[in-house]
Amino acid sequence: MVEEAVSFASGDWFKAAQEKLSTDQVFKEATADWEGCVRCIINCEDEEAVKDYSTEDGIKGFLGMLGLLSKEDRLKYKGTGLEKLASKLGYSLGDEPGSVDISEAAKKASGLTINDFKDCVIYASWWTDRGTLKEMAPLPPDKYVDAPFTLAGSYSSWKQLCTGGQTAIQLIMGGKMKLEGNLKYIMKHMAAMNQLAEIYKSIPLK
Amino acid sequence: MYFEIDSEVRGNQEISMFRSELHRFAKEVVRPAALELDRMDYREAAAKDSPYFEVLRKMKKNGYHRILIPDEYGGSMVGPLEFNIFAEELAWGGVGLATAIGVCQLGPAVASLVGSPQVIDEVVRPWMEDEGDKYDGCWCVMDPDRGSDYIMLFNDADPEAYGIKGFLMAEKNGDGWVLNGTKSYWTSSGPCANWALAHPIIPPHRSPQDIGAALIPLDLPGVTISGPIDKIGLRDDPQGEIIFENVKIPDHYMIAQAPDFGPTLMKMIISCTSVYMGSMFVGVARAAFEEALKYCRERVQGKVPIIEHQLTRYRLFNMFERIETARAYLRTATRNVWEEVFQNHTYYQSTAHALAAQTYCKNMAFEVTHDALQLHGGAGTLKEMPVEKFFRDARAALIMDGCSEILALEGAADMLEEDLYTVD
Repeated sequence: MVEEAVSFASGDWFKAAQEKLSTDQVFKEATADWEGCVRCIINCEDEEAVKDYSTEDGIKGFLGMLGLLSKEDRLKYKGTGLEKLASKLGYSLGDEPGSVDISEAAKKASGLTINDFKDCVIYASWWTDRGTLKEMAPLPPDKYVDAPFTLAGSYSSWKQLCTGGQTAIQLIMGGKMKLEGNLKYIMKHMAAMNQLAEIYKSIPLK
Repeated sequence: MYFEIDSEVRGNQEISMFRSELHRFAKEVVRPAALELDRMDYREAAAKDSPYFEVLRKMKKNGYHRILIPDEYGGSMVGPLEFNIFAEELAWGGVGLATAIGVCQLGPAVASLVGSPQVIDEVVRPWMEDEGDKYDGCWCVMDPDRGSDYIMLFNDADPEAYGIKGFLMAEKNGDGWVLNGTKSYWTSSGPCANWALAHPIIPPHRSPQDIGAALIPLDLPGVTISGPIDKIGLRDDPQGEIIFENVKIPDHYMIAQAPDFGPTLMKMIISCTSVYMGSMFVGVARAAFEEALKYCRERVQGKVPIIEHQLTRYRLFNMFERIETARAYLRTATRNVWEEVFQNHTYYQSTAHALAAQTYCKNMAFEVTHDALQLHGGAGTLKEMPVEKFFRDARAALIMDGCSEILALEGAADMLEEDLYTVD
């Protein structure tokens, strides 16, 4: 069966990742002794994000991602760059993301520039404990701020990682992504990180 | 040549051919040039018309500068066994030239592991296509006042106490980097290179552990390459100091710029170089052993060739035993490095095992070349005898790439940290 392509970091993308991370046997084995949440920070002030979010698919994906958050969690993005971007698309964080007229939003999106993405950041979690996926979802900005691990990078760097354009170690070593936490622990589990990237890579992107 | 006990080599036609071809190259190209370079004035050995460059050109023509680069980047990546064979055979010919061939491709090899697509396209791919003198690499590791510090600080609980004075420093400058400092006269191939893989300290400059990796064209303004040094061994690989004064490189030439991963990067590199070094010194030991074997068959004392004497036979067997055990262990350690670094990209190789391979093989090479020289009697001390060079090379190895004692201390720290042995 051919998998349907999804937009990167969209609601569908998170759902596909959840499904794969819960069932992939190699990943289960690679994370058999892994514990702890990785807080992922996706900085959208990036030309690749501008390009993606200027399309109907991109907007649908963006709203779909916000739809995975509760209203209360969405409202925690108030005052951030993400709220400003959403309002440019005609969406208010308190509304249901599904209620947005996508074609209208797309018209507004066609004029977006990098300035509209200033300080726009998406937070997400990847949390596996001893082979079992606990969480793979977008987060409100204030959740898991004390997570044992943080992986941060630009939207295009994350996309590179998720399409196999560059490996995690290439992006980290090259200063494109920043990893914080117990580095020795991470290095010991690099096989798990690599398998995570393999799973991301297996999700076809639009 | 020798009987290959490893059926993985013997039973594999492709690897066997690779080995035969390398041996031919080592015998016909490397060995004559290495002996010539060894006996030349050290300044002439580094001059533009030196046989050194002819060997590098021939090496590239055979594609030997591509063996650590993945195929998709224009390389022809080999497996761990071929890697061992490569280093052993080249060093059998001449360990200085084998070092030069190794460091020549270290820059693109590290770039292919951790570099960006831009640096791959701009530097790695053209480097792989070069069959002339356009890309001759060197490896700038040590700084003049930092010898064993380089290894000791990686497992030190308080790396900041080392201070950062005396290291090559990199500062961010607009879209690129500016480099200032000196890499010591032990820079392998320094006087002959036009590109360098150098390790500067990068911001936030907390300690020497904030180490990066930069690809540097050596024709940039501010680079001064000092003359070669005169030394006891590895005279077939000119070494010399390189000074960097406000040298500007673009951002993507700083292929590793994550200070927190400095120790990971260096342990990965030292693990790769350790198994290369180990293989090279198995080659040096084997070269000396073969010279001894030949001499013992020819030299008559007590009315018979000395190979007929019990003591000679005992000594030869002892040399054979040490070479074969070193090679066998080395191949196991190399496989681990290969799998974790080049195949799985986990960078969780056993540095302790790799260092053990390096120290074991270097110590073994010193003992075996010593015994080989001893078996030659007075003839072994003559400059015209190859065994005399092998002995000097093996002696230099006990300090080269980190002196054996310090490498052992680093290996001990890794062994304990990696929890390689537990008590039931």
